[in-house]
Amino acid sequence: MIHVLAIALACAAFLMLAVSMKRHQRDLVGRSVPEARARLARIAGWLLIALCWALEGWLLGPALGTIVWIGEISMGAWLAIAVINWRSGRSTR
Amino acid sequence: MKDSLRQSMALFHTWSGLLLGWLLFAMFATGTAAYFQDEITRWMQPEVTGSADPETSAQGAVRYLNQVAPDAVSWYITLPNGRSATTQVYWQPGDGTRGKRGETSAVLDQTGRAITVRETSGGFFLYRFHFDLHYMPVLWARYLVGIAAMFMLTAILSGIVTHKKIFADFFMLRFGKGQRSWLDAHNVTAVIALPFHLMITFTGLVTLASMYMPWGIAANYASPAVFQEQVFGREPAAERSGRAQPLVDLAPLMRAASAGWGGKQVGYISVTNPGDATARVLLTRSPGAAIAARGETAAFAGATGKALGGHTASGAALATESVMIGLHTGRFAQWGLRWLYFLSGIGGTIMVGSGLVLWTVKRRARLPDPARPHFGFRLVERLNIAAIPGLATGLAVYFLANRLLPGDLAQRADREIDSLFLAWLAVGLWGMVRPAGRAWTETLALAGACFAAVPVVNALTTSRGFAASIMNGDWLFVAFDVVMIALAASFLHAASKVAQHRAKKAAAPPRRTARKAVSQ
Repeated sequence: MIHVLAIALACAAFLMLAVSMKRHQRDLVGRSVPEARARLARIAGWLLIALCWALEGWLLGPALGTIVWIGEISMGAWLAIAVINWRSGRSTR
Repeated sequence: MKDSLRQSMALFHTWSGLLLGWLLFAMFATGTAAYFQDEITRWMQPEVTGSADPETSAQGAVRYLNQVAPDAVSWYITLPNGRSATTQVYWQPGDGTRGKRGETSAVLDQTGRAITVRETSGGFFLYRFHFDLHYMPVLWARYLVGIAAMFMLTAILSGIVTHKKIFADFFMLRFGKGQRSWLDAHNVTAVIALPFHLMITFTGLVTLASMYMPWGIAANYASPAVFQEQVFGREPAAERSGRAQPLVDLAPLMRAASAGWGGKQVGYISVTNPGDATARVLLTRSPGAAIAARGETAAFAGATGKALGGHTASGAALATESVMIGLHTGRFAQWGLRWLYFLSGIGGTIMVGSGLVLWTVKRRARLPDPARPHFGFRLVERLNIAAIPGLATGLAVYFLANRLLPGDLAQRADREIDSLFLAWLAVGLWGMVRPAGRAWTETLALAGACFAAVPVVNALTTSRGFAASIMNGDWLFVAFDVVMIALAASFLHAASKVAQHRAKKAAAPPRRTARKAVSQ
């Protein structure tokens, strides 16, 4: 179950990073985001990714934790891409 | 300067990826399946149910071997673990003959009774095909696979240089835009799991490094056998003394070894000179118990149970190799991580496949006469059909053959494997003779239909169909069916997309679509 939590966290992290990028802002939040907010989102995204690593490292030890973390953030990124696609499909329709 | 580097890398990426791309696709696909090799084997032996305890199984195996091969040179016992429920035993007959396969091996339950299961190579075949291929000498296959892996590594590295906007395009996956979509799919599958792709390719080369680069061992040791003995502690068997002495109970030895390894379980047992005063028992740690693949060993005198010392992968180089092989094979992974490995492998398979398709998509718009492409283009297009829907159909047919071939067929396991390659060949030939566009639709649909047939045939031929498995909480069989249905849905979806695309292209003049792709 910890995988589900970590993948959800990673997905949230990548969505934050996407919100910090101009080209995805309209799809995700419906408007463009001011630069200061975008920077905040970027920092939050990276922090969440780091938090995932800390979580797995703490639970499974640094070696196994890192392996699991890489798998989880990959899945999180896939989910984020799916969300972005779903949102952009809705906004253009 | 930077652009010319990128251009030369793009050229290099295109051709290093294409030249052995079809082989790489097959390696990625079967290697991905091999993460579930034990589970696939269990699915392919539906007669086996339940689970088994390693200690009881070891005692059962010894009872069986004492009856069947009391005077063997050696016994090899692979114990069940959390993923498998059977003990596999193999012995080297005492009369010096090598013995036919099937006559010197058996599959046992935990009480030591030989189980009559349908003869199958199961998931093990997919694992071996991943680097030994088939119908050719293993040595050639391994060199070929090594060259392909080297190409893969250079293709990944040159691909990173070629990819203009890794961060800006990180989330870009646009559907229904022709060439742009193929490029997106290729980029996204490559970038999202880039650490995995780099790791898997590099560590794959490491698994066979001492075969590809034998000179280090050749320069420092009298022979590879001496190297094996000194580095891995594999001692040659002693002469039989002729004084009969029964083997001690293995369970206490297993407990002692396990305690010495911090609780990690025993996975393999080998016994040399069983039943003799010189008998020697070698216990090897289960590969599932730690990341490092080369398990620690512990040796015991077979007649007295006295500990004779053990061996661990010592030294930085050996430990690094052991961990790298472990990372590649993923035997240590619990089920959650195993699925992550599997999904990353699927991503890699799609990356290679989309790269192959991209080669043709990119060039189709630039063909002087799209109706009559030149030979090279046609060759790549046909080989893509043979590789992608062809292998997929073959894999589905492998599973179908397991359920449909008669149980008493001679050399049944080999016939299952032949079925895979016959189906693969048939799809390849079909792709050669049909018009390319239509061949794509038909072969993708065929692959989808074959995957869809697997759960149906399973439900009809065994008592472990989807509904029954859910009722029994038999999640392995449930998951197998779900994966088959997911694959079927993906291939059928792809077939319908290709058909739609062809219909659209037939309606619109071809030049316009080409210009549209360029302007976007």
